[in-house]
Amino acid sequence: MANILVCDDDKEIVEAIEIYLRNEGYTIYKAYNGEDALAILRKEEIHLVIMDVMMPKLDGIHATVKIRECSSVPIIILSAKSEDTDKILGLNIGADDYITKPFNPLELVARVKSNLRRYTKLGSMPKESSAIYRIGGLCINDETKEVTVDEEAVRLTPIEYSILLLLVKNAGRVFSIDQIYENIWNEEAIGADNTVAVHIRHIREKIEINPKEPKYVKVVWGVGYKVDRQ
Amino acid sequence: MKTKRGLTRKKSVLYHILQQLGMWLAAMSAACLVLYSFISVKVENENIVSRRLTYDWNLFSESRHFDETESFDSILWDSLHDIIRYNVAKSQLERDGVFDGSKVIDIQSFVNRRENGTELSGKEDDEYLVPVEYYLKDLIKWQKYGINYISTVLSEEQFVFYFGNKYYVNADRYLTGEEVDALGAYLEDVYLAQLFSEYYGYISGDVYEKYEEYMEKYEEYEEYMVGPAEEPAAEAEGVSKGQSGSGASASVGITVTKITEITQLHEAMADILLDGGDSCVEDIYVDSTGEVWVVVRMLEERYQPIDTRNNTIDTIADCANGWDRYNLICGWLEQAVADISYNYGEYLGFQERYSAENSNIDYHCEMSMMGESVRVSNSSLDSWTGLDEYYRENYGRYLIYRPEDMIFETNMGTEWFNEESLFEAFSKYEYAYPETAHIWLGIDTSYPAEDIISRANDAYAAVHPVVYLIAAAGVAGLLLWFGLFLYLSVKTGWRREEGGEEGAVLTLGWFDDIPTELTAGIGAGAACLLVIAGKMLLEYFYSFLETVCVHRFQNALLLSGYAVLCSLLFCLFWYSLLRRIKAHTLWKNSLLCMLWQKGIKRPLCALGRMLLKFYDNSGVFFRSLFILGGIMGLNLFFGFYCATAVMYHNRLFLLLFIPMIVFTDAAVLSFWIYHHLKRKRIIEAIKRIREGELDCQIGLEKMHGENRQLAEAVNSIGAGIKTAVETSMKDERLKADLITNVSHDIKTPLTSIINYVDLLKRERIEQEPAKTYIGVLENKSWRLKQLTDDLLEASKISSGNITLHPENIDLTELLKQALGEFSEKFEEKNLTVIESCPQKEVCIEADSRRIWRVMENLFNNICKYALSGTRVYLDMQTNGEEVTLSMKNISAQSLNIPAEELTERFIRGDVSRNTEGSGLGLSIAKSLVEMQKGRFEIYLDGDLFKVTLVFPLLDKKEESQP
Repeated sequence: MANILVCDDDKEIVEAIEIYLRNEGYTIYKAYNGEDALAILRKEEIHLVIMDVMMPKLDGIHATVKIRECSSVPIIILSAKSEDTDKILGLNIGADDYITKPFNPLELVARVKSNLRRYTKLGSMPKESSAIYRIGGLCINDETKEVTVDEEAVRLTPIEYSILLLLVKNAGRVFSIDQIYENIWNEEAIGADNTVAVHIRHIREKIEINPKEPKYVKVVWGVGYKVDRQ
Repeated sequence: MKTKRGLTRKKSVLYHILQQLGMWLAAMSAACLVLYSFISVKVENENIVSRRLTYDWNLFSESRHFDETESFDSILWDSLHDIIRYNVAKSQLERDGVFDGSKVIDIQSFVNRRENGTELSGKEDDEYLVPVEYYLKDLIKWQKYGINYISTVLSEEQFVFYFGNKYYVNADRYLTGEEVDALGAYLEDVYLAQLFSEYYGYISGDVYEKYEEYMEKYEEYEEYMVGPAEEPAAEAEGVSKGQSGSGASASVGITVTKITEITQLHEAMADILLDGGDSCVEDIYVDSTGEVWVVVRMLEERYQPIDTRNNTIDTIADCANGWDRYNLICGWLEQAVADISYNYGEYLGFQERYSAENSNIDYHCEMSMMGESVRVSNSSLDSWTGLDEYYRENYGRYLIYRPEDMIFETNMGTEWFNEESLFEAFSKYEYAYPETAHIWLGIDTSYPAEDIISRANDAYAAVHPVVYLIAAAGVAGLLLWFGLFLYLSVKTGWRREEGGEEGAVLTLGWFDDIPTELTAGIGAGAACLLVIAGKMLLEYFYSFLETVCVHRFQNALLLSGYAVLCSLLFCLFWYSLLRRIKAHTLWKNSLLCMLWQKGIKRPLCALGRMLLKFYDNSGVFFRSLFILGGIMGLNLFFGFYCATAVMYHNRLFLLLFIPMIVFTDAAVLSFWIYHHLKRKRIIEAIKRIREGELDCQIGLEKMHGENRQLAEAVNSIGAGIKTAVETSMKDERLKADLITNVSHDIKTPLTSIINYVDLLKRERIEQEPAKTYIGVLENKSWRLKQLTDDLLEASKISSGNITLHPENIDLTELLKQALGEFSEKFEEKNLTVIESCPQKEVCIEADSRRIWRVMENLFNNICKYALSGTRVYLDMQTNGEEVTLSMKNISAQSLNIPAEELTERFIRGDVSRNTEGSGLGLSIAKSLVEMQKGRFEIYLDGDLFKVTLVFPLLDKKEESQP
């Protein structure tokens, strides 16, 4: 299986992560500061890096920058800093994902898997027909009516499928509840209740790793819903 | 803005030098053109008045050589006259071709030679029988010493002995006794007046006029008086009549007896009558013995004529047959001496000037005068034959005139010479015979000798070929000067530093710092000096014209130097003036300005300051007195005075008092206005502080009295509020920082706790108490996480450390979305939501994520604290300007705290704090709502819990889409 480098100055956290990931069958390399991490990266073949930000010697941000100079290995930043600005900074300098402490171990594992799949399957994309829509790791095949997230099949109800397809087809556009209702039910949305909102919550719960911080189906509060163009 | 381009120092100096160079060029060219276009010589010799000959010519004429110009002919014309004169003089002074001092001159025929020389001898009057003759050399010699007379006192006998007859008085006429009496009466005044002047002085013009007037009056009277008046005179001495005329020059004899009789009055009369004439006796008086004495002016004895005919002539008096004649001869002698010596001088001059060495003019001239033929020539050719061919062949320019043979020939360039003009030239001398004159004139155009013609030719030849060049240079110089003058006038003062950028700096020199008036004075002085110098220069040129001709170039340099000096001085002052105007220092740098600043403005200001100081330091009472009391008192005082002035005094006092009242009232009024203007500023400052501009400070300068105190107080209040606000802000920030850091520090160990609790859970521990403990651990660790997150958020909001991204939010949409998100949670607690929303967009301006946080918190609150199985009411209403969203639910527990405290941080509905939640939810929601310009209210009524959100409605710009 894949080799994962875990880098954090807190040994307990590193060991906990090791336990979870080893259970999933991954090989773990451990580092307690940025320099160690870089040294291991040079020696071993690493497929994914989990990186803390606040570390002695070389912090996570600088280490990430250095790694990006020579490698495109997926990097997940794991930090106690939960501000938007911190997240934006981390993602901008080349990290692929950002998880705030304290984290749900299951979420971490899910994200690791998702990133690894995308990393290892990259470049071997099947030739796509016009009926296949891809947004990041999300893929909708309209002919077979199949939805996959990071190559894992997701089961959606027909209404959920229709809503997701509408949003994906018009990626980037914000749909209000009434607009979605009119599009899917083909009726005028007079007194449309919260049905659409509930459906969308369900979709999120099915395709997102963390439904509160959705990656694909985003809520624009007070305006509507949208799927970002990748 | 247009950037000024300045000049560098080097360039500026260069342009100034170039400008002066231009002036020099122009002046030099003008001076050359003037100085090279004339020639002047001074003809000077003893015995003659020096004479200046000046000829000018047009340098721009087309004649290539000087001998083609009119000036050349003009010089020659004058030379021709000179030669003729020379010939005449020669005939007078020479015998057998050489000067002979012992030549005997008959002054009578000499003096009268112009009139009818040949007829002199034929005059029948015996008076002319005795010739008065002198040697030529004597006559010339006497000119040097002058003709001297001597006053001689003669008795009547002596007078008769000398002059052969009675003495002559050249008086206007003889007066009869009656006339004399009448005159005497009149002349008494005149004489008295005359006594004050010199004895032999003249009578002033109006006295003479009066006298003549008087005489006219008596003309008729005279006519019938003449007969009887003349008779006694004739009887007494035998009247000798001169050329008796109508009155002016009538000579009448006066008998001695008459004179004695007339006495003093007559003497005075005689004085008047004798005054003037040369031929008069100087004085006639009668001594105590009755003897008559006559004072006459006689020539000294050395002027006795030579006795060529042995007529025993000793003195002139011997030649004369009377006093009249004697005087006439004296006149002749004087005239002859003057004429002869003048001619002699001229003769010597001509001899020199027209000698072969000194003149380029060769001539042969023959004239016959007084019967003899006189020939003059300076030609090397001695012969007088074959002259026509000789002159024609040997001279560049020649003139041959022989009227006898009807020959006139010339190759002169102009029409100056012709037969008529030549004939006139010769006939100027009546005693010569123009028709017998012969003249040959030739000019060697290679000019071997240095004379006026050659020098004129030199000057002409030097400049004429390049005259247009010089003129062009002059014009170019003038243009250069003027062009640079305009250019520098614009640029002067704008200085660009060497190697600096484009911009220019206004730079003033030391000269510009001299006070304006002083500079003007210096300038005027310099101008005066220059004018004086110019005048002197002109005078010098005029009086030394002939020298100027010799050193033309040097003089041109002198003139151009003068011009450059003028230009330099003018430029110095002109540019300085411009610089001063540009720098606005014309007034600032003047003495008048200084006088105004120091002498008038400053004392006035000092007085004002003193009054204000007094005002500041006095108490309220005096301040009021100062303004109100002062003005009322003064007005009363002046009013009273005006009244008394009108009643008792001169009303002119009003003119003094009314302006004083007006002035003081105006002064106090302006102070009052000033005072209130300052107060207005204080009020404005207070307003600004109230609106939150805590930096606002009032300038204390120029504030006085209460205003100053007020301003100081306002300033200190503002500053106090500012520091208070700053301190609280700082505290809040510090608190936020502390919370942020602490929560970060908590998070790391919390991560481990959560992870390991999870790992423990996976160990599938089935023993009952252990499994429950693990469950508790998991629960509480997640609550700890929630707490830290909320704490962080709450601290950020309260420290104002977040930024909002306002956008248009549809509240109904938001409500639906929120309900969708929470639908399951409500179901879990078995809560029924009853909503009433308007079926349209309700737009407000808010930050999408923050407003969601508000809804999330409120809905979470409902989920946590609402009683299971109850209904939750959501109500949204708009009233045109605002939208009100209210949420009502029944609390599961009794709310035993005031509504206001619910939104305080860490307050929860239960005091025991054993439910889930951080206690920050409502606080955060309230803060966020208020940040987005909304209102957040909580209403408690028993178990009813009601939250009301009020937001300002955004104007419904577009109707909701279907």
